[in-house]
Amino acid sequence: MFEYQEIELLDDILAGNLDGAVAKLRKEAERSGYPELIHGLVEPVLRRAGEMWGESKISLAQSYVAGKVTELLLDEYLKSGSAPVGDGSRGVIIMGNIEDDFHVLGRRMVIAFLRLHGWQVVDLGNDVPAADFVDAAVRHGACIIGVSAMMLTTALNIKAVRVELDRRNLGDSIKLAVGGAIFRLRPDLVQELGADGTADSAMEAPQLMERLAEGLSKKPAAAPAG
Amino acid sequence: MTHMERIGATLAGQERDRVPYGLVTSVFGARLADLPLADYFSQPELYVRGQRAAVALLDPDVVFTPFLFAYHAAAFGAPVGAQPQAAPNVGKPPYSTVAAALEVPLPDPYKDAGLGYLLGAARAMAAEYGGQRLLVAPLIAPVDLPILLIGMENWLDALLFDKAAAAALAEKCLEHFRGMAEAYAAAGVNMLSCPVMMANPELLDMDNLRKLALPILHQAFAFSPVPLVFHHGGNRLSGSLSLYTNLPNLAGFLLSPQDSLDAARKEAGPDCLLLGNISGPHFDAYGVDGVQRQVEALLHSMRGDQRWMLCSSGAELPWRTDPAVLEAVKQVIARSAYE
Repeated sequence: MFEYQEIELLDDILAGNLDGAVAKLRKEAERSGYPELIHGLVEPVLRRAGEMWGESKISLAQSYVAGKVTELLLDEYLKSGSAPVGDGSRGVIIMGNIEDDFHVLGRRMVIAFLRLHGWQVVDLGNDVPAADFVDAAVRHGACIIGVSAMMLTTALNIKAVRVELDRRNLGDSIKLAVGGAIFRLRPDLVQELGADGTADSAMEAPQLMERLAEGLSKKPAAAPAG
Repeated sequence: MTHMERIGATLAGQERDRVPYGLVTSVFGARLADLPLADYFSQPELYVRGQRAAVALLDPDVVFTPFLFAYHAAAFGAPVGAQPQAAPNVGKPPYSTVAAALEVPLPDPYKDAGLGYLLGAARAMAAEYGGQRLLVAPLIAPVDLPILLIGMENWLDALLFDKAAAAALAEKCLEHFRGMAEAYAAAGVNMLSCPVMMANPELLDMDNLRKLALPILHQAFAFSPVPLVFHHGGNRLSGSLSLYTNLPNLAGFLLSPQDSLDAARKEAGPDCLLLGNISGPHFDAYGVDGVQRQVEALLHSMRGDQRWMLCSSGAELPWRTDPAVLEAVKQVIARSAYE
């Protein structure tokens, strides 16, 4: 049981008390450890905040604070040296925001969760052309490309990643995952863009990636040494 | 009634011969006049030529100057790119911090090329339609311009965690708003339409909304020499209208397609002008029959409401829309005058 309760964390998020929330979470992590804290406290609160956002009960700004709290906490965990990071045991994922998209927070949260679940993530950043995703996937021996977009106009650019994968006959060895606010509003876009799947939240991204990796009919090419 | 008599009666809440209306055809005018978008959005006289084609098709009571906020961002150094079948847009926000955006000199509306185009188009539209139809200029809110300059996340970050910096940038954007509002009024514009995102409770928390966004908007609206319409900015306004009804120079509200006009009327009171709310981006999907049904339904639900005008809400009409769909709006409106 945590001293810092779910309802208190949610209240701090809704009040925009970023520093207070992170300080209390840090203290709680010292008592219970990061894995217990993340799964037992942060994830349920994030899920609730996501539901409230979907029901228009909280603002975009409050939703942003929820993401920021999580991002800062996960960063601390990753820097603590105790997180199961980057062992590559599950494989390599290429992540980035599609060309013309610059909404970084969602992507950074997804990356943090993926690393916590043992994925090796290569982050290409914002405004990434379709061919660069595929080039990087081939170069690093990745089994999944994860592409983020917030708006419909930029999400449509993701189609070019599918085209590029198919053009190089890589569809059986590299899966295409997509994410971002627009896919919650328009789930039909996943199919329209030729993606293999999406997740409703950053927390659910590791399960999505696992599912996609299990569905691969060919193993990705091994990453070159060095 | 002439167009302006109809508008005047609506603003005064008096009986009209029919509901006045306007559709945002800022981009669509180029299609109707078969003009290349690059020329259309750089030469004011070509903008007017496109709007002339739209007026010939629609005979609207309300006409608009270019709906083109990217040129405001460009005046602050943002790269602007052409888009096929759409208005130019800002690609990457040019600055990643408030501090960097604050270092940029305030653009001069009369010296900057893009702003000069917007004002030139406004002057040319006023020369063509002044005194005959209501000329409305869209103007980006000072709380929203930072989104184009530093990106939504950096702007949210500043609003939430660096309030002094956020206030400084909002003040700078307020000065820009003031300069453009005055210049538009001098050009002959009758009314401004101000889309507002970052003072909506769906986007901003109430603390920031009351302490920063609303005071800035209050100052902005007070500066304007002409009345302003509070535009939904892509979000629902129903449920929040009371936050804005005391803004100075407020002419009324342009509601989003998700809003209920009935509910908005109850909330805003009987004396407030309401505009809306057929969805512009859905015109192509609606088709002629669908648009007719939509307009008839709106006319039915707002029958007897003398302070309502029919306007398209949301973004532009899709380029591929059959002009017959636009014309269908005119026909339903004209028919309503005889019923």
